[in-house]
Parts: sequence; structure tokens; C-alpha cells
Amino acid sequence: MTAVRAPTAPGGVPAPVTRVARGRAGIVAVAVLVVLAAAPLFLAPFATTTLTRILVFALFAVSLDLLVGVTGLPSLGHAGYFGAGAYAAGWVSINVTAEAPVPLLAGLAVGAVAAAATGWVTVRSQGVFFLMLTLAIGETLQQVADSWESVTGGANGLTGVPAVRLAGAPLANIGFLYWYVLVFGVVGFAAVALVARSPFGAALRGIRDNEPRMRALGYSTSLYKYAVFVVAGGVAGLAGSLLVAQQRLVSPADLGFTTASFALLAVIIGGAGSLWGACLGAALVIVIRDALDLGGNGTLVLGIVFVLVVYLLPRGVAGLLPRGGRVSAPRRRRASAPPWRKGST
Amino acid sequence: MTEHPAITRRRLLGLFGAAAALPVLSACGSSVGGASGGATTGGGGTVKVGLVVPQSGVYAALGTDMTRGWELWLEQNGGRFGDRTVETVIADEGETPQTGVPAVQKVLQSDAVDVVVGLVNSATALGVGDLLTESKKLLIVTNAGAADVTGKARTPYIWRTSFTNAQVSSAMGTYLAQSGLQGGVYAIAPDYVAGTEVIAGFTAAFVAGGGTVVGEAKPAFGKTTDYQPFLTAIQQSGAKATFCFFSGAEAITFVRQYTEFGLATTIPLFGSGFLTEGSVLPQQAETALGVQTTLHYSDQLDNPANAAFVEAYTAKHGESPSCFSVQSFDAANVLNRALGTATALDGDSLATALGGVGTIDDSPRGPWTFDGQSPRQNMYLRKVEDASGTLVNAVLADLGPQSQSA
Repeated sequence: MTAVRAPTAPGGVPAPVTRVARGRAGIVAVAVLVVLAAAPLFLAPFATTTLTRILVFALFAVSLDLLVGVTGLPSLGHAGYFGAGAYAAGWVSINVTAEAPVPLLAGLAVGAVAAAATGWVTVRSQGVFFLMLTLAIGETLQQVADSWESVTGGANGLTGVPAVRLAGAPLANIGFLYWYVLVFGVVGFAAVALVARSPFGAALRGIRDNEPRMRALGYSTSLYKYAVFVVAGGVAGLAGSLLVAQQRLVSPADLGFTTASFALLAVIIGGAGSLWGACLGAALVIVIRDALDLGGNGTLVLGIVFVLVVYLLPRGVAGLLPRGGRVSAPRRRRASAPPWRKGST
Repeated sequence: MTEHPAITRRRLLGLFGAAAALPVLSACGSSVGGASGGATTGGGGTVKVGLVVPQSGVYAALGTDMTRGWELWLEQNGGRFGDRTVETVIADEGETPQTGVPAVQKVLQSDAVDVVVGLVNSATALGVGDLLTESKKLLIVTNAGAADVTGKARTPYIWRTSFTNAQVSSAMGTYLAQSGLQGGVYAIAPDYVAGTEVIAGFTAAFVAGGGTVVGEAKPAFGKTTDYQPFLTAIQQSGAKATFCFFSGAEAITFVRQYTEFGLATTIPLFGSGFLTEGSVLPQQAETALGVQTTLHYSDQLDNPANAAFVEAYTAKHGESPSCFSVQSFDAANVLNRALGTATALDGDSLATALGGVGTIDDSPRGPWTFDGQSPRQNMYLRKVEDASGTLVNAVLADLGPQSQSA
């Protein structure tokens, strides 16, 4: 993986995007937002509920994409921070207050703290070791959730979470709740997008593509990886608190391996490195899992989709569009294998 | 990697799009109005029931038994509750609340069912409480045994035709205490809420009857495959009997290892009935011989209702029913009775009607009543025996009625 590549800025920041292309992307983004914002006016309750769940899972997948696609750290334990944030938000809602920003901030903080507490070990490892360490951390967090019954409710889950309150009024209506999740989902997405586009994000892509070179250039790569690990954990925690707002229940399954692998699946289906691709992937995963009536074969269908995507769309759904959107330049596709394939090419 | 023709990708994207559009197409309306959930049409026409049982995951076998029990009752009664035709919508509960809660949401919001029946996982049953309260629909739980479902987290809309974890095990506690067992008992159950409730129920009843628990172990739930260290501890504890609670794959592994370790002959194994119920028994095979359990049902029960039930069930599916089949069979039974007096299909009317159904006298498990919103029912002492080549849970004794709080 240390083959000589065309000298570019760290991480191959895309060639200056033309004003036209940027304008077009802006128009698409605004159109998508308008459609999303208007959706509950036209959709039946279950469709809105499903869309809410998609938004939550999309934010979670986007936070994972920051690790997998942008930094090249394929984590199998990211659901741990998602779940930790969810438990924190749920616990705060029950025991302190369910008033709007409080559960969100609690989820964000606990997600970030959990990532900070565990990240300093994981970011020092690479490849399979990183995979195994994050897997172990996720499993450990799930075990904690399972056993710490006085706080988490154990296997029965944390139930009876009150509805989020906005200026004193509970958000029980499905449509209002959707808008609440949409607003903070967009805020979280924007935050991740800003990080990915910043010079910090460029350094992260540099680490993804060639860590020894970045180190040689004087970047403290461990520090960068640690920082992005904590940011991703925080955003995952935020997504977790939105999950609680919607499902008003947290169970150990929310921070388990299945959740983590579904998120990774969403990222890969969407195209690692593409944030909007991760959102599409998340939508596909949730629709197949929850909304389609597949007679219990949802997971099987997801598996088949995964195999198809790996063979037919090596860069995910995002790879279908040659221009725009994707964080790294399309021409570099041969040089930069997707991060989960490192070492296997 | 070689380039693939673009048409394949386009077709794939089209597939994605189609998959994403499907639920949307069937989902127009508005979510911002006042009332949520489908309108109840009422009238003498139909009653729509959402049967939410596991079709995938580790509980899939239970889901199959429940669907069969439900369908058998409908088949035997013309597919009607009172003068209403029953329309059943089946949804997959999966393993965890992650899939179970959306499934309940789906039948309530998308299929606009009048009643929800099912749920194996206690976390799911507890997690949908608010959902049912807000939509004022009735849920009949056909398995989930957590005490809180109809106890601490009670809502008037959630009723149960199955059992509570402690109800089953406290019957065993009382029985063992009275059986004149000399010496203490070792209690073992997986480290999760159901395990804790089972052990608590057993211990309370056993100690109240004068017994002593000499040791207790909680193997990690769903992660333990080797029980050797626990078996050694049991051996060294000086216990005269072991009480345990396991289900599914863990029940198979534990019973096998217990016998192979040589404990079965010296320290007899007792348990909550799920240890040897349903599909696990054939897999435990002869290692389960002699294991004694308590449960609210056995297909060997000798009463006319059970004889007819077992005969019809076996004729149709080629295997005996389990307690899970009976639990959903009875759910249909009580709904039928409730609809005979209910004025409407909303949760309040149905809950009131359920409160007045009295004794269910034609259940395969024997007569039972609602104690609060969960059954007060007879517990049976069962022993695994070889009945001409097939292992069965032979009924040794009727331990009498047991209430839900036990």
C-alpha cells in the first residue's frame, strides 16, 4: 500500500470544484432538505416513523463514515458509543429532565467521553488489530449494559423514557418528533461534513491513504486519529439520543455487534467516504429491516445486497455518480482502494 | 477489478430505488394531524389482529409454535371472534426490541390493526407500552414473562396469556421445600433479567418453605458454551439438588453437559419448564431423562380440551404442541370471549371486556383466570420420560393454582 502515487495535497483533496458543480450540489441539497422537511405533511404515520428511524440511523452511519471512509479506520464497535449516548439520553430523560437540549447534550457528551476513554488504545493499532479492539470494546459495552441493571434495566432495556419536551410541551406527535430529529440530524450531518472538508479532514484522508508519509511530513497521526475518534463518538452519541427520542426505549441490542455491522454495511453500500452515500445506505438498511414485509428474511436480503454491492458497485452507490459528492477525487479510484480492502489487494 | 457494464449498475440502482419507494407508495396521508393510528371502523364486520411473533433469529421456533396455535383456534372456530371475521396480519418480531418495536409500530400505524397479539421478548413488551397507551389499542402478550409487563409498568392496554418468570419457578420452590429434600439446593440461571426473576421467585418460595440455597451462579447470558466451571462448583457445594433456568440453545448445552459431567445421577436436576419445553427436548435427547420441571402446560396433560387440541395440532403439523402454541391459542380464545361483550374495538372497551371474561374453562392447560392482567393458573410438576421412543414431559402432579405475583 505504499506504492508511489501522484503527488497531491495530503489525502488527495479533490481538484478545485468548479463554481457550477458546487452550485448544482447546493441546489440538490436544498431540494432534498425541502422534501425531507415537507415529508410528514404527506406521509402516513408509519412512513414518517420509518423515515425518522432512517434519519437517526443515517446520522449514526455518517459518524461511522468519518472513521471508515475518511480516516480509514474500520470500526466494529461504533455502536457502543451510539448506545452509550442513547442510554445517557434515556437516563437523563427519566431521572433529570426531558427538556429538549438536555438529553441531546447528555448523549453527545457521553458518546464523546466513552470514545475518548477507549479511543486512546484503539487508534494506536491498525488494520485487523483495530478491527478486533473496537469489536472487543463494543462487546464489553454491551455486557455492561446487560449487567448494570440498576441503571440500564439490563436485558429488559431502559423503558418508560418520557417524550422529549420542547419549551415544556412533550413532542408526542409523530410529525413534530420527525422534525425534531430532522433538525438535529441535519446539524450533526453538517458538523461531520465540515470536519471532513476542513484542513483537519484533509489530514485525515492523508492518514487513510498513506499514514507513514503523513507521519514523515510531521503530522502527529495518532493525535489526529484520536481526535476524529472522539468526534465520531460524540456524533454517534447524538444519534443515540435521537434514537431514544424516537423509540423511547434502549436495549443492549442498540450497542451490540449487529447494530455496528449494520452501520458498517450502510457505509459500504453507500460508498465509504461519501457522507450522503452513507445516508442512502442507512435508508436501504432500515427499509429492508423494518418496513418491507419479508417474512423474517430481512437480514438475508441485506446480506445479498451487500454481496451484490461489493461485486457490482465497488465504490458503493456514491460510485454511480462520477462527479461531485465524493470526498476524494474520482480519478484516484484505482490508487486508493477502499479502506476495508487495505492489505488484501 | 474489471469494469462492469454500466447497465448492471443502473439496474441495481433502480432496484434500490424501487425498494425504497415501496413503503412510501403505500403510505400517503399526513402525520401531523391530531389523532394518530388508523381509524377504527367498528361495526359487526371484521376485527383486524396484528400477530407480532419472531420469524427470524433465535426465537423463530417459538414464533412458529405461536402462529400455529393462533391459526388452529381460528380454524376450529370458523375464523371468527363472535360475529366478526378475524383478519390476521403477521409481522416479524425478530430477536430484539430493535426489530420488535418497529414491527408493532408497523401493524398499528400501517396496517391499522385493532388488537396486537404476540411478543416473545420482554424488552419489546415493555418497550411498546407507551405506543399502545398513546394509540389506545389492546396488546395480548403471548410469551414475554417479565413481571413488570403486567406489574410495575402496567398499562390497562397490555394483557398476558402466558406466565410470569417467577410464577413458574416459585411453584418449584414450594414443591421442593415440601418434598422433604434433605440438604440445600444450588441455583443457576443466566445473568439477565429473566434469570434473576426466576431465581428470585424460586428462592423466595423455597426459603419460605424452610429450604436453603447453598450456592448461586449466573453464567453470562448468550455467551457461555462451557458450563464445566459451574458444574464443578455445584459438585463442591454439597447441594442435594440443582435448580436451573435456561432456554433455547443454552438449555440444550446445559442439560447435556450436566448429564455428561455425571451430576444427573448424584444431584438431580430441577428447573423452570422452559428447560425441556418444545423443540429443545428432542435435541437434549436421553441426557434430559429424569429432569423435573414446573410449567403451566404439558402436552401430556389429561383433560378433554388438551386431548382434542393435541390431536388436531399433531394431525396438522406432525409434532406435538408446546406451551407457546397454547399461549397464542388461548389469546384467540380470550379475545373471542371479550368480543362477545365488548361494545367497540378500542383498547378501553376490550380491556373492560377482558376484565369480565371470568374462568377460561376450555383451555388445554386447564381452567385459568386473569389475576390482574396475567393468568392465575395451575402449575404442573413434569418429568422427562421416554414414552416408547419419544421423550415427553410426563405430568407427575398438579401443584395447584399460582397467581402472577407468586
